[in-house]
Amino acid sequence: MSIKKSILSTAGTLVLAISSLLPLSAQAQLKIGVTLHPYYSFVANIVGDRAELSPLIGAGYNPHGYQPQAADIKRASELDVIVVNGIGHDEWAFEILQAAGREEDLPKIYPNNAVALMPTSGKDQTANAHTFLSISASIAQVYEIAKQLGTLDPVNADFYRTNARNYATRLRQLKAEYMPQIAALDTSKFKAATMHGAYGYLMQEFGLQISAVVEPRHGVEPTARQLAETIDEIKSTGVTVLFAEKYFASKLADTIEAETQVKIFSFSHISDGDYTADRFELDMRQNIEELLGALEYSASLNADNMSNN
Amino acid sequence: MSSTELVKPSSSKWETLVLIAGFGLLLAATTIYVLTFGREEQQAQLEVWQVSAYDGLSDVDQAVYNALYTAQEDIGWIQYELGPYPDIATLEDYLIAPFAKDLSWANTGRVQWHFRDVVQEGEMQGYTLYHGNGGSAPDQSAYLLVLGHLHSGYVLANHNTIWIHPNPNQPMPKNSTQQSMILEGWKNVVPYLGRDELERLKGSSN
Repeated sequence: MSIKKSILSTAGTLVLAISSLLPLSAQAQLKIGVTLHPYYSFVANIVGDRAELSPLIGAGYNPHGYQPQAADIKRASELDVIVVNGIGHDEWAFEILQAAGREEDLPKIYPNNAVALMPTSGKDQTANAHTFLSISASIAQVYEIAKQLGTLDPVNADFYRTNARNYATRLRQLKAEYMPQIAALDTSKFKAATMHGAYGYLMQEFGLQISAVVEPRHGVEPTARQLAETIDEIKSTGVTVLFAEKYFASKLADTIEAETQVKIFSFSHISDGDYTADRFELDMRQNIEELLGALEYSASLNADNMSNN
Repeated sequence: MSSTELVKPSSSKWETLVLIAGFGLLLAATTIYVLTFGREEQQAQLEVWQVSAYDGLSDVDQAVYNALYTAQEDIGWIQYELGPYPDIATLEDYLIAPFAKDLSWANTGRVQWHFRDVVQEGEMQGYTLYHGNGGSAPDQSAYLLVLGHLHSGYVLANHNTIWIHPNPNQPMPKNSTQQSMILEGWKNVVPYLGRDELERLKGSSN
């Protein structure tokens, strides 16, 4: 080896060694992948401009039963870390990581590691993976993400923690904004069904329960017999409102409405549209407003019944 | 004259037996497979003084527990930032459930919360307690969040536990050693975390 080559080789090794000792912020920003819209919002609010965010799949795809594309594999190959649900809502992400050869080496943040799970409402008693469809459970996930990112990027750990706390406060304020209106209503006879068994966490944090779920399993439409059973259940339990899916069209809701005279409201699954920092807040606001509308409707039925008696 | 001729087997005995044997074999193979490779129980075996947050609590208890489980993280972070442990009024100001007196609080029985700051002596030394009782919802319990912080500055890593008592009016325990609380009838609530589900599904939570 010539002296020139030897010097270059030694210099290259030194540069690599020094760069590995530098804090992450001095080298490059973390490139963080996310699988779901809520995670994009959570991470964007935690990291601000100190990390780069990259959704693993493009906007506009339904995360239920998503089929991986070639572009996803390229994106996965460029990530430093990924935030992934991992308990049943984004199994396609693992296929993408495997195809990109990143399944083993890519650090993964599982926000649900810090969340106490509950069973899915209705007949499907598997663990409910939709922890991001609630304020409280989302706050727990925001904290977990901030903690794990702080471990990977210790220079910015305090920044992430402060942002996580501020974001959590904002989310709580969002919920609190509607509490006086909801608290003024008679919710004692509120009985609701949902198309999708996802909303147990959301209802629970308002102290409400779901009486029936139309889908027998996550993302699976009921058979004619199952639908008939659910209609009977709705009638026998006195359900008066049905929460359909805002972005997933279904004729089932219309059929159930015609059969049972329930009034239809719609929840957002927060899995559609552009990935933005405020997506979670915007969609959760809509969900709480829909819930408020349903509670007002239920309270008006109670008032009518009282006056008729 | 009909062109259809009915052909009967000389004996249907063997075909029936083979079919039954085949069905039995299939059933046995399926049973062995399920027993060997089937899903594990969602939660590890609990002790008699423990109860599962996943499927062992009433609806109202589960709602209070899940709120308390998230709140313990907030409490740790507030203490980390401000120094003292937040009292109930502070947690209400932060709108933190289950302490904030909002609709959720009303729908989950209007539990009265009490705060006992770092205990300096006796068997409860080194603990901070958040105790809730007096709730009026059906199937309501009393609740206790025990924050252990033997060394200040290590709060976020310390071990916290949540307990429930079937008597909704149960007072705060005088001794918070595990044994004395169990003797008083308190049960330790064990969460089923996303980490547990990940391990069940993928064999690892990393």
